[in-house]
Amino acid sequence: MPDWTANLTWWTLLDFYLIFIVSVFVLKFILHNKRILSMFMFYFVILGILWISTFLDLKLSSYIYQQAPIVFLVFIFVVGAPDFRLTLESLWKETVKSGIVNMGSERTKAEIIKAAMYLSKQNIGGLITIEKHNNLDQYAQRAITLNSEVSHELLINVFTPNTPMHDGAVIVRGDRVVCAGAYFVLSSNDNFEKTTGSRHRAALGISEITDSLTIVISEETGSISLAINGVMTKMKDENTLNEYLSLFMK
Amino acid sequence: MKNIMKFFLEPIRFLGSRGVSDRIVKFFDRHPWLIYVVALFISLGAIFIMYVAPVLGL
Repeated sequence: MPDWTANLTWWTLLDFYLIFIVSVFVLKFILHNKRILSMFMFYFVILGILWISTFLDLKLSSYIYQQAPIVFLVFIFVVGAPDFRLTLESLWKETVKSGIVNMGSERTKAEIIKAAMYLSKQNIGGLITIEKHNNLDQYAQRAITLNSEVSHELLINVFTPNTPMHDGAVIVRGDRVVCAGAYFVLSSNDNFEKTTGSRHRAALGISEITDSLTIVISEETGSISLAINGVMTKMKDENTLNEYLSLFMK
Repeated sequence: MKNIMKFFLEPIRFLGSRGVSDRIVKFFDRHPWLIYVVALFISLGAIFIMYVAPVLGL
């Protein structure tokens, strides 16, 4: 009986470790998104058919299915590109953290609350995203740069209907309004009602992939909700909003 | 009978409509540590194929 340990050295342990960490990442990646998993399951079915046809020496089937895995793998990456991006962003989210973060002053918080309450009373839709550790530059770059101090007048003006910037989100970093008219990837979470509007879905979408907080003011009902970590919470009154913001911005 | 016919005529679609991916995701959500166990077996399998199998003449 040959010595099965003949090829094993201490370097094999390192090899094992490297394979292990990649396997964990790939498994987490596939299992993180139902749609990606469905696509890979289809891929494994194709591989299964290929294996059976090769094993039974079915010439025509194995000839056709031999080409399928590569073609289908490319197909998965092309069709699933948005899902891959979302999953990578949310997996990355947990690791990209910087130590020091400026969350804005009490005055900024008060101005945001004042603006939200006004928009709510007037039934004007609004979307205010407050950045935390995860940088939102990729969204700000495609929006209209403001880089001005946070004030309720500015926020109200941005969201006034029929103005160029009213449709997107405002991104707040520290005490500054970075931009207006920012567009986020909409959440495709199936747990929310199909009737959830695009503004609320955008807020959920950004909260799923970053650690930001988004205030959504409904155009239809005037209600104020907060989206954070993929969860939407309706605010009862000004005090509740104040409490949530105080916790987030401390 | 209808399901059997469906399985023979459209096996890939039949498997796809069983909600298997849903169940797998939910299962691993409940037991996240199992991901590490599966990864361990995958790694051990790969090490076996690369280092041990050639020596054993497999």
